[in-house]
Amino acid sequence: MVKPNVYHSLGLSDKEYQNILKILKRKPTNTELAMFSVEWSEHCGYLCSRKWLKLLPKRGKYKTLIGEDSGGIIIDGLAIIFKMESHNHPSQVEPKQGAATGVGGIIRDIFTAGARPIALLDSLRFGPLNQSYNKYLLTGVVDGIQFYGNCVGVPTVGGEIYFDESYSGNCLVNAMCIGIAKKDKLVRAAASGLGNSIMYVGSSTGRDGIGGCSILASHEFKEGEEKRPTVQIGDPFTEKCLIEATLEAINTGYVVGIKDMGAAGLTCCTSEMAQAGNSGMDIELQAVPRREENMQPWELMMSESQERMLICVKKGKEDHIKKIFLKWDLNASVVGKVTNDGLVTIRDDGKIVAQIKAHSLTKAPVYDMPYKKPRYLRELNKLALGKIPEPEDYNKVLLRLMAAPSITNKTWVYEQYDHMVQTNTVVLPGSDAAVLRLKGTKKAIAATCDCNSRYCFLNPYRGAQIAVIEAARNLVCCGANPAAVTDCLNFGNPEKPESFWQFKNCVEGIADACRLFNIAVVSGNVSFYNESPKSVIHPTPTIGMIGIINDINKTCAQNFKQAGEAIILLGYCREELGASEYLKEIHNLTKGDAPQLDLKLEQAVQKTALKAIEKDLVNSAHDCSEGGLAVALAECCISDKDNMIGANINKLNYDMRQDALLFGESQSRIILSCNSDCVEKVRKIALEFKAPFCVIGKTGGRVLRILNGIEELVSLPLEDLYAEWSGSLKKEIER
Amino acid sequence: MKFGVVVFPGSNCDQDCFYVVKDVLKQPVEYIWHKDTKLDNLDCIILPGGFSYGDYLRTGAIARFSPVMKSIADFARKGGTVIGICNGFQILLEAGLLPGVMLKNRNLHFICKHVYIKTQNIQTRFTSLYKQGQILKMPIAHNEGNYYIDAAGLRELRDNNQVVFRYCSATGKDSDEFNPNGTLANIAGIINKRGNVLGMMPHPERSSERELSSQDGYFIFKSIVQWLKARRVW
Amino acid sequence: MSRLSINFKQTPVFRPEKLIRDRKKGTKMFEAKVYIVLKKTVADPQGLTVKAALESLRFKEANEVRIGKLITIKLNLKDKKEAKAKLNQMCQKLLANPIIEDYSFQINEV
Repeated sequence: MVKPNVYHSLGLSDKEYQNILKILKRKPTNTELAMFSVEWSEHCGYLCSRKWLKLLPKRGKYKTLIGEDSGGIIIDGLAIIFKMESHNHPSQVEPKQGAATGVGGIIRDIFTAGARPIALLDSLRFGPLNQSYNKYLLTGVVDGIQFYGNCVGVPTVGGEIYFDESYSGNCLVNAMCIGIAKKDKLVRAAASGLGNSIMYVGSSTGRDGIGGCSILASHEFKEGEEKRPTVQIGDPFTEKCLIEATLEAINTGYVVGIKDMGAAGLTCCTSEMAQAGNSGMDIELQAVPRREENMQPWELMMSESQERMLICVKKGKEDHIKKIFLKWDLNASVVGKVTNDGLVTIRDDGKIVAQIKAHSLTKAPVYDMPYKKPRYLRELNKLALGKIPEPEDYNKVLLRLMAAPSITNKTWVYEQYDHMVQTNTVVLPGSDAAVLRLKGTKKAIAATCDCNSRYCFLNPYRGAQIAVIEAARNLVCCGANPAAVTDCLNFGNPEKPESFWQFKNCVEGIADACRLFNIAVVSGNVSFYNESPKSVIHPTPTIGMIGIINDINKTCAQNFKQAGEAIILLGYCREELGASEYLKEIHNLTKGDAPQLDLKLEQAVQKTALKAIEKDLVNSAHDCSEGGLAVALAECCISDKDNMIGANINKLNYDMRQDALLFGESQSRIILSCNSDCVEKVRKIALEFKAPFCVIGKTGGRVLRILNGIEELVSLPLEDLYAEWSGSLKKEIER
Repeated sequence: MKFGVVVFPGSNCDQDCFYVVKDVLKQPVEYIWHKDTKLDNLDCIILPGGFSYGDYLRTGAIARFSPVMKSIADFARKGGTVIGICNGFQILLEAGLLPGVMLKNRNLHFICKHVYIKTQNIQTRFTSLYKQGQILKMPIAHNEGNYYIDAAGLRELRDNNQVVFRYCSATGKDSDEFNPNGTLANIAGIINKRGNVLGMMPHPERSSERELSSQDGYFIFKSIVQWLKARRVW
Repeated sequence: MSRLSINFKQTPVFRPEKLIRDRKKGTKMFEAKVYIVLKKTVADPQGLTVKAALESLRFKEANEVRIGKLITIKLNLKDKKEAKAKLNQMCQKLLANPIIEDYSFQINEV
């Protein structure tokens, strides 16, 4: 028998080892043990989450495609493939390379499906910037994303950055990639056809990342542990060449299947391709290009060296494919062939070192994890508004919120990303969503990623629903019809019932919201164990969503366009302050419940805004989120620094606390601005969908002025707002 | 008339340049693989932006040795029209087809944003459709846009009117405040002495269409077409 | 781990091409360390930034910081003289940009 400490060090439990013995009916070899340990890791095998992920809807308003490693929708014969993935633990250890390889990995999932990558977005979360390690992580991660994304020639067009104490010790880096392809050019990640060849292409294999998924991503960080050696180094230049070579190879028609070697490297590729193609594989490790000496079979199978792929090529056509990769100066060697025995057979110089049924290896055990609502939530959800003192000076509060790290302008970040390469970016970063044109058509895609994790912490089910509908609302504000979702679910230790309760509720929330809005979840990723002795992260189910714009001339950005526009509020303000940025920033409280949600009201507001934009009635559209109505209005005034326009909001008449009116984060609210002769037409549309509609003021001047009734609450020069909003992140970082 | 867009391993903006010439300018265009040495029937060669060879070692340092570069040098020597954009400009500098060198941006970061540049020399085949001193809005996106040449070199550039574009404010002020990357004398683009080779850091192919934030870059390509038409003997 | 005989399912052995490069006969192996530095006349913002960072970490002794490159190259040649000549050519042609960089190197037999 293999000693327990051997398989424990690989991350396998006693039960899992017993399972392996049952499957093989004998003792496993070293190589086989290594293969099981990576393929059955939480990161690759989804042992704890598979049961609940089945709830997510795979169908929606557009035709969906669900592939092995990615998914998408089809519009007019064009496939839009997209996926989001996490690279949290490697980024916490080595932020630049962690983030870079995260970007590299997600891009590979897209182009190995046959789609040309056209955009990247990233959702990042860190601990507060007043701690120097968090600052180091932020600058390192941004450096990693720009280092990889810029060089590989895929524009980084959007994203979000949040700061919260819960992320100290566990930063989150979720990278999303979108690609497009003609529907008939897509390729599966499957190997089939007896006698077809298996070719290895890309960088040579080294010892980097060995055990990354089994060790880094499937366990908590313990204090003082040296995890650096297991982080991989990215090479965006090789990846760029790989993109071109792969798309060229797929075009020949000789590629039967192709898969990226990501987490769990060769193990994952061989077993999953064989399983997906209902076939087997016979691989000779001596043919695998390597860059270090004396690599053992188990090291070759576990290595997570970047920029490598496995291609299943039609028998006899290997030289055609090799020529294309050699043209781009990339390794391309035949390493094996497809069999029909359902086995993954790994040889080292002819001698068999591993032989496992593909189905057994890829079918990791499914665990039914216990869950329990955390007791602390009951107290935390109580918020006595009466006990929160109202501020005296709302101008000061608004300025502070505009400078708050989670709200403030992120130009310092996205000016380091090439967001214009490929010349498709029609709405640049800084608005509610990015818009990318589809050359050769009149259509465009809008993309965003969203999640307010504070809402999810205080109410996982509703918080996750809000993440979905807020993403949809952001797309609608650009004039896009929300189409499909990719999710990246980041949680703590699933073996702790309170953490698992958060996960289960978030998945249910996403499923219910998507079903109501008829949006499919086409791909996704789960990242557990984001916790350390210091803290456990807020549950963070990041939603990446794309929407379709039917006429590229009918897109919309968030800034007011000229003086004299009418400002309309769709939706209405409730007296609620729970879980708000205002409560956190000004009163230092993470308390209350997530804002109330009326899904029917949300639908009505979104349908109204979308129709108004499609009918060209509207000059700008922006939704209310963190910071509430006041922050949203300020952003409408100042987000185009070359054309800042003030506003006089003098038609509000709410009988409620002033701070709740200004900064409460009630859902289902969109601010529109339009020419005065369009107001009635927009009102008619709101009536049609039964959305609350109110003209709240007019644009003009150099000041943002907000009144409630006759009481003036805010009056701030645009320059002051802009100064706080545009300078604060850079100032924090350079302090 | 035919345009050629060179593709090096790592070039990113080749498809963008190809698209502008083919679909916006509506002129014949083909890709030139960096190992090809035949440049028959080409009237204008574009070296596009990107990260040729990953910018490893030094930006443009390895690409300048690609087989195609010798042919491009011959082509330029014979008076052919060559435009190097961003990484293309960096490759022309390393190859010695333009004088000087590119250093890292002074803030040590990649910078992607719209800037304003002033047209200093409208006597070139690239800028004839602009007015003298015309201010253009164009995006930059680079790590190394900090142009450097020694004092004698700078004098020569000025004496021969080789500085074509300089960074400035929206109203044309050219102080250091509007220098995005520390480049010497706010230089954004230069030509060779003969006037047939242009190198520029801003991206005209990203500012040639109505859907994108500016159309000012279009006229560089249009100027080239006009110049080539005027010289063709039909 | 003891070697148990395991009955694997035997399939026809597949032997693809090997990838090993052998050392040439009658040659020696050298390792060169090439140093590429910015010329003194060229500004080095990276060096300035690093100096400021050292100072902020209380290393006030750091007077001047300049950042260069170290390139290690393994060469398979006849003798040290040939290695030196080749390295000079490599540096002048590719590894250093003579407008802004100077180079030097050390060669050791391994």
